[in-house]
Amino acid sequence: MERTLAEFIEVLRGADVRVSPAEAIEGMQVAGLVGFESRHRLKQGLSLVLAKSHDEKLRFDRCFDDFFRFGVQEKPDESPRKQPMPEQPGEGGASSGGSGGGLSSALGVMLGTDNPGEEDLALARAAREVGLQNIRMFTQVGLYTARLMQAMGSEELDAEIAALESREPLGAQAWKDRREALRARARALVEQQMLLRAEARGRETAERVLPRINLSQLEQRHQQRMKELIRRIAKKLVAIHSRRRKKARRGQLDIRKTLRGNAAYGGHLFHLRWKARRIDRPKVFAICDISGSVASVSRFLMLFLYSVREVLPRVRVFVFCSKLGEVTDLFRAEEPEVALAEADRLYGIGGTDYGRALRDFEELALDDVDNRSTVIMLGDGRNNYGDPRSDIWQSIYRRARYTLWLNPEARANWQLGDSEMRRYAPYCTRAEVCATLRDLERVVSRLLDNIG
Amino acid sequence: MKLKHKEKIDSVDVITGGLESLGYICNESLATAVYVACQLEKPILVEGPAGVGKTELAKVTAEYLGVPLIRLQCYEGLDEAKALYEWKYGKQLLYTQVLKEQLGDILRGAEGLAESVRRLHQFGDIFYSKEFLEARPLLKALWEPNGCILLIDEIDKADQEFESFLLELLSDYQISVPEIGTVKAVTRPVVLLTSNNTREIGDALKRRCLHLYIPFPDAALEERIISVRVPELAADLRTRLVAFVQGLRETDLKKHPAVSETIDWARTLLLLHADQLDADLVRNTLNVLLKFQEDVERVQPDLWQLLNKANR
Repeated sequence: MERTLAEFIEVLRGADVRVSPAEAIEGMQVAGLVGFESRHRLKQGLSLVLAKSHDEKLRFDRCFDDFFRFGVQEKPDESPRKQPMPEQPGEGGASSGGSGGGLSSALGVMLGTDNPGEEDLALARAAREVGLQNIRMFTQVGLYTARLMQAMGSEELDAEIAALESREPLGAQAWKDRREALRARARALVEQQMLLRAEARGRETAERVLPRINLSQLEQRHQQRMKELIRRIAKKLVAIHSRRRKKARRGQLDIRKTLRGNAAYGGHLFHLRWKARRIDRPKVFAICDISGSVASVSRFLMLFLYSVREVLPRVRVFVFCSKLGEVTDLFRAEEPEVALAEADRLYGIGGTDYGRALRDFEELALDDVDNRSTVIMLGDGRNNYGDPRSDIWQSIYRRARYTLWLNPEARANWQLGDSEMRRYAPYCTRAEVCATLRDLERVVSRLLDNIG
Repeated sequence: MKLKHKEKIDSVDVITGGLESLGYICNESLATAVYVACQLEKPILVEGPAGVGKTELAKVTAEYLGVPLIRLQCYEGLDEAKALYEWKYGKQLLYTQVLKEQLGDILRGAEGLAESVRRLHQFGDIFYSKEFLEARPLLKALWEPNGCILLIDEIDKADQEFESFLLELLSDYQISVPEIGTVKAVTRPVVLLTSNNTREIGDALKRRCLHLYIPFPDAALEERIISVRVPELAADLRTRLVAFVQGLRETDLKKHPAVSETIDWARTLLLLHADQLDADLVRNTLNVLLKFQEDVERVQPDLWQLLNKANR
């Protein structure tokens, strides 16, 4: 039974329900406590220790229903049988199974006694034997079904049926039907396992690989999964940074707080209070190039900033191709999808012109940039040989506390062609390559840390 | 937990029945949680929308098991002094004043400072002993000789630091007080933590608890709850009332009416001697169910539709 539970827990982990080893042990304890008699109660008991949020509970319910569909329980008779048995062959079948042509192989005897619970157990045993949990792909279903049947001793059964057929064709047909019924159940089990495991495995692989893929190379079909990933990373970052940190100023007594705190002790100073400084979240100005070459990275940066707005409320977003405009309010009012499309429609026209964009920024927002601001520019710095206006970027650099240039291109290309990076880079606190989700995560995480 | 009536936590069914006899109708998952918590001595973290009976569960369980309920209401800025213990400063001060003369006697004849200090040391830390300790809810719960239900209400309102502070209590049922050492539970209490999900509870805390989610009840369960809580209400009105509330929960509102609101509404209708749900009556009493003006305004236009559905 422990083994079944362990397998179930593995399936849960695959379905993104986090179960620690300690919780797994508790799961066993609970299972021992509530018993396996009632499927419903077992489910509730396990759900208490294995799924620890509302989301996880929903996923848990689904997994439980899928996994324990085949009643691999100690009292299989009580397990609800969802898998309908195909019609039993009428009189002839029953009589041949019962008396006339009783088969002597193990599988034959089992089929003859017509005990679905025992079949379930045998199926589960065989599944373990052939390593069904390793199934990966849909194309393996046939193979595993055959292996499963083999492990249950279908070869012997086949031989016996063949022998019977020559003597008693009618009785043999009944046995064949039973064999087919069993095969159908084996196949259903394999398919169910495939769905349970393969889906989880596919997601795991994608989650391992996607963050390292260059964002501009990303295929359309991965977009949804990327969004999901960003949401998850953002959630993690929000959780880490949701506390407002204070930094104690060493050795400076806060007289007012000390007096207030010790009022209860009749003016005797028991607890000293020290002065502390709240660490403020930075004011962020994000300027994103949304021309074709950089658009995909910009999209994800904006999505990222939008996702952490809970802990980084003072973000202003600007986008440009040639003309620059602010889209902060757009993001506040609309769903990120809609906002992105709208931003693209409004400003995604014309050839890239950093000079004009910087000029627009100067007019729009330069006055608001102060020594608490962080300015992030995301772009490849390819200006089509126009005037780069690095002087404006320089004045931004002078005013802001921190300026960061994110370039999706590899560093080696920064000096080539129409790239103006060599003019901008001296006026950046940092200029770095940002092409993958992992880079983005690092950047946003550092923003939240307020180290820069 | 050491209990006088061990048979009370014998099985899930016994607990369901017991709670029901005290007027708390619960589904199987709730009773299972209480059962497992009592048997494995693990705290329960109860989550769910406001007003589905999270706090009530603790009260009823305490009544059922016949043990005291110790409640700690969490809020922002809650610290050890409020939750765990405090020194009775006034008493300490008073005693030192009273004992001042005695002190003179003790020190009389001592030669030099070293001798005086040595004599004083013989008395140990009398002023930092159990007598001068003001126990707050958590310490009280640990000292309770026959066990108790410790309710840590709205843990999500407390700071994250406090959450970490609770970890030692929740996993080992002990707490460290620097001046007197580690205090272990005399009898392990049953701990219930509730959360309204205003913020995500930390993983470390969740790992140490059983996690119970109480959703809004379905119609059948809610009807049973009303029938127990407001037995005077006529059966068919009860059915309609519950159907109406269930309908409200399906609409998009800022805050959905919870069980406690349904009960209040049932009592209101009883008070007004209503024998059926008509539009005027509902409109006039809607503020019992909905606590935001914008919700009330949103529901007004659909009122007929909702009523028709409920009266069907």
